Amino acid sequence: MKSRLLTVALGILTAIGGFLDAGDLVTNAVVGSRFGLSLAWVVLVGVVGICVFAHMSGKVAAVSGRATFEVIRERLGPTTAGLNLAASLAVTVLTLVAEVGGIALALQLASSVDHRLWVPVAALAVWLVLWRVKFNLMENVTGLLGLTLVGFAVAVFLLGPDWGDLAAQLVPQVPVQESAAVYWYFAVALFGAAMTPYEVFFFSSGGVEDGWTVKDLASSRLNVMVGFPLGGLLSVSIAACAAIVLLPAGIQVDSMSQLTLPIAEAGGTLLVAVVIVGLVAATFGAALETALSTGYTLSQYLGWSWGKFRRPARAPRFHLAMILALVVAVGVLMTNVDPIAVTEYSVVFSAVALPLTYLPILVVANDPEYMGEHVNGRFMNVLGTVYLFILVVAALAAIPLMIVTEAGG
Amino acid sequence: MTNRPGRSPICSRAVAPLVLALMVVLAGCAPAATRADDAVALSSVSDHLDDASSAVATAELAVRSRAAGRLPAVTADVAADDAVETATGAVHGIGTLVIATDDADRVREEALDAASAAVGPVAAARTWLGRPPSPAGDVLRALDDASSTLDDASGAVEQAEAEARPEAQVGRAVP
Repeated sequence: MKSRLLTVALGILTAIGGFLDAGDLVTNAVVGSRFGLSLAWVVLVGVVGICVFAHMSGKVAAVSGRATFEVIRERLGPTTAGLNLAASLAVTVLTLVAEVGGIALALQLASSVDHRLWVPVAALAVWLVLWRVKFNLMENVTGLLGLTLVGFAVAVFLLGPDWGDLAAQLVPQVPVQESAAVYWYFAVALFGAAMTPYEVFFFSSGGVEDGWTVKDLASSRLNVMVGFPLGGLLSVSIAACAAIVLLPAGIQVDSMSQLTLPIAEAGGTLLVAVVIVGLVAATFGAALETALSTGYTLSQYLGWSWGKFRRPARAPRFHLAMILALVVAVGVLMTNVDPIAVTEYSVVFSAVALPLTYLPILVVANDPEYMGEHVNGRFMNVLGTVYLFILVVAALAAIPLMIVTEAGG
Repeated sequence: MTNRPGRSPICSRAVAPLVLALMVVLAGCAPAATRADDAVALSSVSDHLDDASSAVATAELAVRSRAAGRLPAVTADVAADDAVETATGAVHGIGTLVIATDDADRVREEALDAASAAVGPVAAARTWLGRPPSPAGDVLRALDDASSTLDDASGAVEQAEAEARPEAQVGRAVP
């Protein structure tokens, strides 16, 4: 019983620590420094959405014993699944570029060595972990170290803001100095950051890696329903730190180093060091997840053997796909592109690809052939359909808003 | 010069008026496009000035935090380095804008001076961060001055931008 409780607690903690990635970190800080907390409602909407769909994909994995993308290909046919694969893969590789860039930027904060020098080191470290380290260990270590990002929540309290003023910012409204188009552009970006497509593919494939069965449904649900909302609270605390310190100073976030300034104000060097560990862990964990997601989706679509539960020699093309994705990431970052800009674009393009990722999950979760008695209930279907509508609206609005606002101005 | 085979005189006669009509239409659009271009360009100048102000504020916060011993030296250095990059990016952005009218160009020149003047104090902040601890007073004063200059320039740009907007021009034309 005690061991079961420990496993559940560990699952929840890693879900919290693993919730944030470069997209969440950057977008929340940018939004907080420009809009205060007036877009915090988007995080709430995004967190409920990712809970709904991560739970569905976890259930598909636990009940059918197969990852979501395998079932999608079988259920929807190669053409539709191929379209889904192309969109998801493109966005996931772009997200991987952002994550590897994020690791490099976080390491730069701890060393003052230019991030371009850290990029190959970061990619090599990611590959070594993917090659050598067991799935559970990899997931737990990065998730638990990512928990140090709770330093942002601690900083909010240490900064001692006017709580009434902070609460007043929670009301959705367009600030005077910003246009409505820019407000909605960042709303879509924040939504895309919270519901990044790779997360559900990783979640369901991870379920297969962990050997989930119907018995594990309860703990999977607990991980999602408790861990993700607490992760969402960390997102809001990043925005709150920016809203308390950076917004009044007229600082618009355009680099990762600015994230540490409110932390320094609040807790000094020790808290900054703790948060930097969290930044490295969060981006490193997300880089592992996105690299794995490229391998998972490609292998599951093409019918290759996959999974870290197999030795690399038993799943060579799965490992090769991840290596190629990392090479692409390094290649892109070596062009001197700004990793923060890549991150900002990746969350917007994520929003564009969202319906293609999430519609098939809703379809499969309702198929009795795969799910038997565990098909979605009415409540889940209503919620899923409402979210599908929101996803379509966000996807359609993303590119026009990006053009009109010149990517947020 | 030789006649090209396959091109009929009828075709050439039809194309010529079309090209002429297109030129007339484009020429007619020119004055309005100039005003609109100025408004857009000045809006860009304003955005770049915001970036420069943000860079100055970032450097100031990094220096204050470092002086109070609240920010590790390496992290403060990265923050200041990023601020220098943002400030120089703002200067480049303002300097490479194409401005159509003299009035708007004068405002741009002032903005360019203000943004250029901000780069020095931000770079000096980074230099200060790299040296052994010493009083930060001079560095902070220079950053304060740069911030005030940028605020003044932003005000002037915003005023010019409001005047350059097409609706402002229309409003002025109506008695």
